[in-house]
Amino acid sequence: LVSGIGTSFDQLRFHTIWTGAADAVTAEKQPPADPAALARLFEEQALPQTDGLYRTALRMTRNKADAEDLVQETMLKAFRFFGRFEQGTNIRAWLFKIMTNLYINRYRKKSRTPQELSIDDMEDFVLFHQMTTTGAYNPDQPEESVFGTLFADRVQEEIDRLPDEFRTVAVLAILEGFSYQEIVEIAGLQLGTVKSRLFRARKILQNRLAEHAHKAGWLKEPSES
Amino acid sequence: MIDCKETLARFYEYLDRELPELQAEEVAEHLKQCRACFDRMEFEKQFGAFLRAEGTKQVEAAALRDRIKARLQELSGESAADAEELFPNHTDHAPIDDVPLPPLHPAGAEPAPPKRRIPSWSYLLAAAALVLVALPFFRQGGPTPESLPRVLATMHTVSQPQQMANDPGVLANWLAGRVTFDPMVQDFVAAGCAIKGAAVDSVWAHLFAEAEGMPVSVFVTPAEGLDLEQGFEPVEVGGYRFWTAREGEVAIVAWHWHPTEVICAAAARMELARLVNLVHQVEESMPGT
Repeated sequence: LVSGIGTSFDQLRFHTIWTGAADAVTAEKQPPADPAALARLFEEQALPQTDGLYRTALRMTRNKADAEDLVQETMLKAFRFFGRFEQGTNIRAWLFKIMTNLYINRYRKKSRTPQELSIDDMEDFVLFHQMTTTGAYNPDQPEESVFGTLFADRVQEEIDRLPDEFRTVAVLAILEGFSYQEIVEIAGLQLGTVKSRLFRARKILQNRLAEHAHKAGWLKEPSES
Repeated sequence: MIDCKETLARFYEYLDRELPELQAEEVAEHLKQCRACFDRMEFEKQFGAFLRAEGTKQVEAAALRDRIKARLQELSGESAADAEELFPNHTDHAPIDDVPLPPLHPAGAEPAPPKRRIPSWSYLLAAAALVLVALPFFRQGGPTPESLPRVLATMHTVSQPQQMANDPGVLANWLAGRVTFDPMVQDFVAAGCAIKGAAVDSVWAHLFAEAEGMPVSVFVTPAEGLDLEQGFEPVEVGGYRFWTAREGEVAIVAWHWHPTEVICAAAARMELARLVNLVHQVEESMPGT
């Protein structure tokens, strides 16, 4: 326990955190004195992000009413703390961070659905293997439309079915295109955690889509692998 | 030149354009040489594009945006005095600012050589002690300290202790709807304290207190710890410890153990009366009680 702590925190940093001097630093970037100007700035910068936030909120909460509440609350919260937002930095990531935190604190427990998952039994790159061996996908003539034919009606449902911790990371990375580092900040995770969750999310998603396709008879059982 | 195995190990990072330049070049070089890996990569690229297209289909958010806009205008239209409340600055935490930094090693106590392993809970004790030392005396009397155990017992009852024991989120869950997240906490993370995802729950105390408009501070136990063992009686509930040393006041310390053994903690205090109230509210809202 004792070893390792010392290297991370020096007294100065502790002092900064403890005394609130860190706040003083951010306070230098004062919001415009005029609240109306600040409100206009917020409207200009943050409000256009509503669509993306809502889309993600829908995937997170899996329900319209909660998603709307979540976005509205995120915006109000962001507005309230807009003075602390450092102009010139990434407003989108900042808003997603606020929303993710709100979501984790408020909705996640409520909607948690325990799942039996044996990820280790799942195959890596399963769709590629199965779709190439069954001829559904021809690497020589790759066609993106084949995915639509097989999975379009199923994708959102399977994303929603992902276990919570994987879903958030997957939505942020795959759907919203955030970088790993941005997700680290948004979700308060470590880089390694982001990577491994994203990897697993992809694996689960692919395996479930493959399973779905099998059941629907769209993919023949692959030959012994 | 890297082989298929190494390529697979970097596969998604390459796909996501997250590899450092040199490593990415190595993968690209391999993909030129290896048909199997190339095909696989192309497949995943297309599948990813398909996922993104499906998952980001336009959803109708115009009405929601208008609603938010109206609400914001309402808020910004309020008086200048309210504006201060809307954009609080660091003076919010004035009571904390006024408190000098406690010495890393208590006066008179020579820094003990770390020959013995300091029990983990001593950090928490220290943390709690800090909170109590730092926070000014609370004005209100409220319920008597004797009622605290009863409150805590109530908490136990309403939430199945066996489930609670390892779920640090439970208490936060109870208070859902009353907890708001302060982006500052994440700044604190940026300051070097890596809170893992699960631990976001543990900062609820901070958030909660903030929502209640109370002075609050988040702190990290520093390098050598603050070995300030005090005579407080800790009462453990779920993953939380409550400390009481003053009439009518409870200090709440929530914490999380980080794998790299950095302790992150959040602390707040609240009036006992308020805690009692909340517990009652929560109780009433629980089904079957």
